[in-house]
This record gives sequence, C-alpha cells and structure tokens, in this order.
Amino acid sequence: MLTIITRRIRALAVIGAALACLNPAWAADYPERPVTAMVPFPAGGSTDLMARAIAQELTDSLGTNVVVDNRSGGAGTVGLAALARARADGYTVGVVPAAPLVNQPHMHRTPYDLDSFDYVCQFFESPQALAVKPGSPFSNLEELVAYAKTHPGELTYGSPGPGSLPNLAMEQFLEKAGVDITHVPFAGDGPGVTALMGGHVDLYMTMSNVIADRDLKSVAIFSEQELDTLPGVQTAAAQGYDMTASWWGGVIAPKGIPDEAREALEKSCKQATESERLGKVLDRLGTQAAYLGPVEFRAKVEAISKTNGRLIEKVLKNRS
Amino acid sequence: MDALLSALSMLAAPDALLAVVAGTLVGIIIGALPGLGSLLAITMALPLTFVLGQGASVALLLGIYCGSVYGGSLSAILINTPGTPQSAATVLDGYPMARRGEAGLALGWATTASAFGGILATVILAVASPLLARIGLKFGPVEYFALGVFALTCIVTVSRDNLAKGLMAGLIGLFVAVVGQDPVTGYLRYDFEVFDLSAGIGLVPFLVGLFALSEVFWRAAERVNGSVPVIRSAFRCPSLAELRRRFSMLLKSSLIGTWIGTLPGVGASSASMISYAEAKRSSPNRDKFGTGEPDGLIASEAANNAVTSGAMVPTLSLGVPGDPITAVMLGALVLQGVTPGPRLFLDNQELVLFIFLMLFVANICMFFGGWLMSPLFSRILRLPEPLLMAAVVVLVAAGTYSINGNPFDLLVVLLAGIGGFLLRYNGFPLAPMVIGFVLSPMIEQSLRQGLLMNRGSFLGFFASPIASGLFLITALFLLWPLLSRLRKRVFSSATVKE
Repeated sequence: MLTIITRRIRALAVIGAALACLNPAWAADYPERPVTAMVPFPAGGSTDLMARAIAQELTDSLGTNVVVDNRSGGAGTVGLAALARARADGYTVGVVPAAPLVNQPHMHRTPYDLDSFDYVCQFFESPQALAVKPGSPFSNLEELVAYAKTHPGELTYGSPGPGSLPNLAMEQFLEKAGVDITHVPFAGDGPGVTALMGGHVDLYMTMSNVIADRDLKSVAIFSEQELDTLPGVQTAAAQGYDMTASWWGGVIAPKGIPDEAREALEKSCKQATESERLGKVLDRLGTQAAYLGPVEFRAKVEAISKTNGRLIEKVLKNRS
Repeated sequence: MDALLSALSMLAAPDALLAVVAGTLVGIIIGALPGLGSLLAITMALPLTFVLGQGASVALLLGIYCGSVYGGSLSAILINTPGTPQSAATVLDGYPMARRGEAGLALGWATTASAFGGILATVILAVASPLLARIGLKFGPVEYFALGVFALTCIVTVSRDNLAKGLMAGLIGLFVAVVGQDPVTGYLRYDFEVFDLSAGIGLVPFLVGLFALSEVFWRAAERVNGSVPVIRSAFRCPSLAELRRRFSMLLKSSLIGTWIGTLPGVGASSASMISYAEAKRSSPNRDKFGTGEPDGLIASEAANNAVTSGAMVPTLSLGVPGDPITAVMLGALVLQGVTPGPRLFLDNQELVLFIFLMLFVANICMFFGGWLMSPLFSRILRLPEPLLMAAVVVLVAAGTYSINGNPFDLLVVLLAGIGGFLLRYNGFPLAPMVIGFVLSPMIEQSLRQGLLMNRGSFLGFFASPIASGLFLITALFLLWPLLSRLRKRVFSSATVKE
C-alpha cells in the first residue's frame, strides 16, 4: 500500500516538474512558488468570488498557483493590516475593494495607511444605484427630494454598513440635495436588501447588480451612463445631481516589492482584466472589468480617500 | 414532470452521488473537530467546484453543509465542546447524558433528531419555498429584536442552579460581543487602542476557548482529586416507543428550525437556542432540562439541521443568503452560472428540484454516516485522558488558527479558556455566556435599527403584531413560575377555606 502511494507521489512530482518547464520564460525567476492572494472578506462574498476569478487568471498568466487566503474581520481592516505586515517579496498580494483603503482609516486608527501598499492595478468597478421599496411612490430623484423636503426625517435609507461606500455616496447625495433622510445601517447587503424588499426601509443604496438581480425598482444610477441591466433608470447627473459612485477595487501588495515581481504582476493583472473569462465572471457578479494602471489606481485611491474623509468627518462624527 | 425527470437523472449520476456521500462524511468529521466549522469545510471544498460539474458541485456542498452541522453535536456530547457554534445548545443536555453513561443514546438521539429535522425541513422547503420567503420578508429589525429577546430567555433555562450567576454570565456574554466596531456609527468600542480588538472577539475562538480549553483545565484540575468518569457506550438508536413519545418535540423543533432558517441573518446557532428555549417552555420534561434530558438535545439538533434546508429558502428564492454559510453556497452557485432569485424557480426548475432531492439524500447519508462514525468518536473517549486532552488542545489551536490565520485568535482562545475555568470554578454556568454572546449582535443591531426607524420611540416596537406576539410569549415565559405559584396559592387557600 505504502509503496503504491510513494510511487504515486513520485509520479505526481515528475508531472509537476514537467509542467513547471512549460512556464513562460520570464517566470523563471518570479514566481518560483505559489502566490497568496489575501482577501479581506469572507469566502463566498462578492469580493471573494471576484478574487477567486482573478486568482485563476493570474495563475494562468504567472504560471504558478495563486491561492486565495481569506482574512476577514473589522470591515476589511484586519486583512489589510495583515497584508501591510506581510513580507514584501511579491508572493503575497491583496485583492481588495476600496472601502477599507479609502474609508476605514478615516473612521478609526488602522495599522496601515495609503502609503503601506504598492498599487498593482484596478480591475473592477460597478456603479451604485438607489433602490426604493416595493410599492414606493417615487420613480425619480425629483419626486423623492420633493417629498423629503416637505417631510424631513420621515424617510429611511439602508446601507450595507456604517462608513461603507454606499453609505458615504448616499450622504454625498443628501448633501447635494439638501435633504435629511435617516440612515439605517445593516450588516451587509443580505439583511439590508431583505429589509428593503419587506418594506422596512424606504430606500436602499448599493451596487446596481444587487438591485437588478432582484427586480427592485430604482430611482437613480450613479454612473456616467445608463445601464442595460437597469433599463429606464436615469443617471443622477441627468437628474441634476452631478456625482458618480461605484464599488471598485483592485490588486495591491505590501509596499516595496521587488521590481521584477511588480512588473510581472502588473503585466498579468492587465492581461487578466482583458480576459474574456474574467469578464464573464465579473458580469455574472454584476460588475465590470475596468482597468487602471498602477499610477491612475493610486491617484484614484488618494482622491476618493480625501472626499470620503471629509464626508466621514461630517456625517459620522458630528451626528452622535 | 420533465423537470423532475431531468432532476432525477442529475441525481442518479455517479459523480453526484459520490460527491454527496463524500461531502457528508467529510462534513461530519470537520464538524466534529472543535474550531473547524461548516464555513471552513465549505470554503475548503470551493476550489473543487471549479473542476466538478454543476450537479456534483452542488451535491458536494450540500453534503458538507448538512454533515458539518450534524458533526458538531458529536464533540458537544462527547467532550463538552460544541464542534461548531450551531451545536452550542446541544452541550447543555448532551454532555450530562454522556456523563451519566448514556453517550450512545445521546448520539442516537442527536443523529435521529438531526436527520429528522433536515428531512422535514427539506420537504417543507420543496413545497412552500416561495411562500416561506415571502413570510420571511415580514421580519424587519423590530421583529428580529423581539425574536432575540425571546431567545434570551434560554438563559433562565440553563441556569437553574443559580439564576443570579446565570444572569451575570449572560450579561458578560452580551457585553463581550460588544467589543469592536459599533454596528450603527462605525465607532470602535472597548478596543483599548489595540488594533486586533477592533474586529471584535471572534465567535469560534471565544466558544472553543470557553468550552474546550476550560474543559481541559477542569479535567486537569479534577484529576488531582482522582475522579475521572469513564464513559463506555456504543451508538444506540432510540427505541420506537421513545421516538413516538418525543415525536411532537422532534416535529416542533424541526418546524422552528425551518422557519428560523428562512429568516436571513439569524442562523443555526441562534435557531438551536430559540428552539431550546421553546422546548424548555413547553416540554413535559422541562424540569429536567440541563441535566441530560433528551428533549433538550432533540430541540437543539433537530432545529440546527432544519436550518440547513430552511436557509436555502431565502438563498434560492430571493437570492439573499441567510447566513455566511449559505452566502458561500450562493457564491458557488453563481460561479456555476446559476443566478438565485425569484426567477430561478421558473427558469431553472430542474436545478431547484435537484437541490431539494440532494438535500434529502444528504440527510439520509448523514444518518448512516453518523451511525457508522459515532462509535469511532465515542471510542476516542476511551483514550487515556491525558492523551485525549492533549489532542483537544492541539485541535483547538490548529482549528481556530486555520480560520483567519490570525494569531490573536489563539490569545482569545487562551483567555476564554482561563476565564471559563475561573467561572466554572466559582459556580457560574458557561452556557448563558455563549447565549448572550451569540445573540448580542442581533439584539443590539436590530434594537438600534428599530429605534432609528421609529425616530427613537420604543412604542413603535409594539406596533408590529409579530413583535408584540413575541414580546407577549417572552413575558409569559418569564412570569410563568410566578403565575403558577400564585395559582397554587390561590388554589390551596381556597381548599383551606372549604
């Protein structure tokens, strides 16, 4: 029995060695071993599914296994802290949505900041939309704002959590519209969307796909253009509120990874974003592949961090 | 009809059947190991679903899901440690039974109740899924709060020896869960500027430390006194007569579990406690709860396995996962090209039927798997105690660390273990602490959401008929001993007058 097993292991080793020879030439130095892709959210969530999809693309283009490692907790901050602490050798990268980068550090002390990371690429972005409960009388922002102006504090809106991207985007909108709608935070879209479907909150701000999948009505989409998945829903800009909001993120790494690794990762990441297979997975998850190179990605992180920092200061800290 | 036929042919595929059997057995083992839970088991299988076909993937995941929820009861009964948080309430009566030398029967009841709960819930799911999903929508924050408060009455149940100490332990549990990010403002509370505390105290490390590690300390301390109970028992199925006698308990607990499963965000851990509280309220054997009463075991196990099927209701029909475990299942389905939601029942009927049938098969596998494997687990108890305890420590540490790869979790295990030991030493029951800890986030968040929605008024909580009903049941339950004493006094004084 034992000899059979050892023989099998040997056979596997030979096959493995043979496969390793098939790698592209530049992979000879980096990567020499599997790469860990840290995901700061639990397995099975949208972030995780996207991370697994891009990990598969990176596996193919880097020629080594890219293994997803979920480090969840603290709205993504635990995972980012672990990533910032990880050895900057290019064998640990993070697949992260923007919130723990651009929001959480403004809410409380985190053992990392924007400078703790190297930015590889943004690879996904999906616009947010404002949904209304079933049977709601509102069909556009104008009606909503008019009602909210005459009935201050009567309406409620839900978000997936305090300080989440949709929470801050909605506050940005409320600031522009000059109305007061009470925020009811939920522990994620699961309970939140159900509460909207059951009519327990009047409005719910989240990613457009969450709304489109469930046949909910929305009053505005916060993107540059209208979406096919939400037919007939006008953009906020078209309704006179010049703003966009999305859920976005990409691949980052601990600061100071070797140039060779960085170049390989940047190249693979760009390649992955162009892949049809990834596009399909992202499409099913209701988001789109949207590539930004290292420089633009970093600039976007910095810009949005600034806006959200101001909003957090205003709405979260002054309210209570 | 065509849909049923194609679902049956999907079911009969050898790879699907093999996947469900393998998944169930692996699930039982992982569930039985303290610290390793359903979520970890399913996550580990996730990469496999990239390779397997749609049918086999779904079968594998469902098998693991059912098996792991059941597996947690094995260690709950045998070593006083819930293998998964879902089995926290199983400890209360399962372990006393084992100590009394009835480990085999306890395992038999747990297996029977789990399979019964799972199967009944599957049948209900198959018949009433869209309807149940609509009822689930009626539950908003206000109703969740009322449900959480009702579940808290469990604390009274499990601290019969000393209510004051039980309540204190419950309060500690409620409080420990408050550490971390405020669910409404996002502020950090009680983090003492320690970053690791900002994510809160994890349920698994807390639970595992409190039960498993403190049990190790306890046995080590007990050994000095030389009183080590040796449990010798094989798997024993409850007799038909017993089964008939406790049938109503099985039925009710399964229904509670199914129903709670359909509510998003409540989960199997709370469900087994709610079911336990209700059993304690209504069982004819309620006085014996906490001392090794099969009804308590049934209440917990039937409910937590019924949740597995119940939780598929909102997942499949609304596309809203009920708990993190079904969130992973949802994710796996999405990756297989299936979009759960209201349209799934129309567009992909054969897959929905296949899922129901597979859940059915998984529960049957689970029963036989439990039958086959629990003697193995009860034999583990006959290992020399120092060896067993050392193994528990290793498992606890490895299992807990494997979840988040966070060393801080190990510190939590150690501190919870020491804390648990000290509490037990001073006669505090541990169960209320877990009850408080598990229910705290749901109660706090729903209370504060409800207040936000009602503009700070508590009166709004009573405007909901569902919530009012639950509050009424809670009040009756708490006042029952007082009322019955009053009734007795009135009755006896009346007879004296005669």
